Amino acid sequence: MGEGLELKAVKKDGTLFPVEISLSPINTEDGMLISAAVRDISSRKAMEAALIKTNAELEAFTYSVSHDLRAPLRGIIGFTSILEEEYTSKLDEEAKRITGVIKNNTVKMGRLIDDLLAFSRMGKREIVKEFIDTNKLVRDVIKEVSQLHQNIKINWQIKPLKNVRGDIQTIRQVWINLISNAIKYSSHEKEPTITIDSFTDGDQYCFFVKDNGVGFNDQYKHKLFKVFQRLHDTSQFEGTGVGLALVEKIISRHGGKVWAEGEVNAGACFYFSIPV
Amino acid sequence: MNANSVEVLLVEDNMSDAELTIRELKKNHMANNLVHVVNGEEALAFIFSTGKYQETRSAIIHPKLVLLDIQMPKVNGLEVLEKIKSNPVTKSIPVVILTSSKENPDIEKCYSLGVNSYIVKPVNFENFSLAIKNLGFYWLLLNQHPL
Repeated sequence: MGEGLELKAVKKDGTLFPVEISLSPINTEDGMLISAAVRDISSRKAMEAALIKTNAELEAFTYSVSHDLRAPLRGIIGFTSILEEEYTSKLDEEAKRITGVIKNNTVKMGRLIDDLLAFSRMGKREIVKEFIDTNKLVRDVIKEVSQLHQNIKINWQIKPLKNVRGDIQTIRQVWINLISNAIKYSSHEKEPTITIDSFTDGDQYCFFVKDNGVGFNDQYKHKLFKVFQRLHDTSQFEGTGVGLALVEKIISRHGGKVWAEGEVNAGACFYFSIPV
Repeated sequence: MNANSVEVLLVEDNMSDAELTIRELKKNHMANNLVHVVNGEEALAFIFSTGKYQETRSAIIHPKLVLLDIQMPKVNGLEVLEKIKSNPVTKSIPVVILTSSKENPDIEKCYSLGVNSYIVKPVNFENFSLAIKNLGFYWLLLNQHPL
């Protein structure tokens, strides 16, 4: 017996349409009978097809936009640099400050494009699951990310972490994003402390990165993992608002979940789970 | 400079990118004999001495280096690469792809067509300058050209 067997049925005019068939046994006095429910799922199939097509279009759009924005950006940066280098005697202090502002904005835009591109690429990639030594991976990531924040002394509390089966490149990206965030948002603390630990919950291995930094307002936590959503000022903490959305996308492709807890000025804790 | 003493053929449809590239090569004294064409059709006419270059170019004198963008109108970089590398007369001309695209189908396709090198144009200006300077030095000075 079973449920949800998808087949094609024939209409009176001879055309085919998709159906779902469920069979179940019924015990009666006259012996076992089979009950069959045949459901017309044409509209569901049409919606699925439309959704797949829309997702593909969205990903193609994001890729093409990010890609085509790079050339003019290079032009802006390049020509502004030429202005600074070759016309330096004709530029007064204010003019030089202005070219600096132009270049800063282009750097930001470049980062945004890179993040968007990574986000869209994530949607197209196949997940290849292999054995991941989480302890080693996390130590490597911490070493790599710490190089960008050499002047910040972090108190690392890393507990033994469970090994998982996952796509190593993208799980690495998850750790990079969460650990970078933890460093960034606790960088203003006198004694920044970051804890990384794991536990089992049913059929999922759960991991968390906890910091004692600036935290976030719990009432906005549903916005955390959405693209371009930020809960902090760019003047205090730079960022593009794509990092956590990428984490969410990667983990959900693995069949896991992401969630977070936080309190303003009392730190934050970011969780993700991966099926065993 | 006459059309037969060309060292670098720059095939680039984006005028800003072309200007930046030529500027950087000039800064390093590598742009004396440079010709810039704006699409693949003109590039092929130049290399094979057809169309508008029929009278002025000899098809057996080759540029030392072809810098080729991929996305261009009319005839794109992949088609130009294919035509250059599949012709016994021109296939030994060093062709370096200089593109914004870091995407895999493009990279694999170019190498399978026999490209000599594939460079992604950096957005950051310092890196861009360095890349052009390095590739100019390598392909025009260091590299031994096909005789």
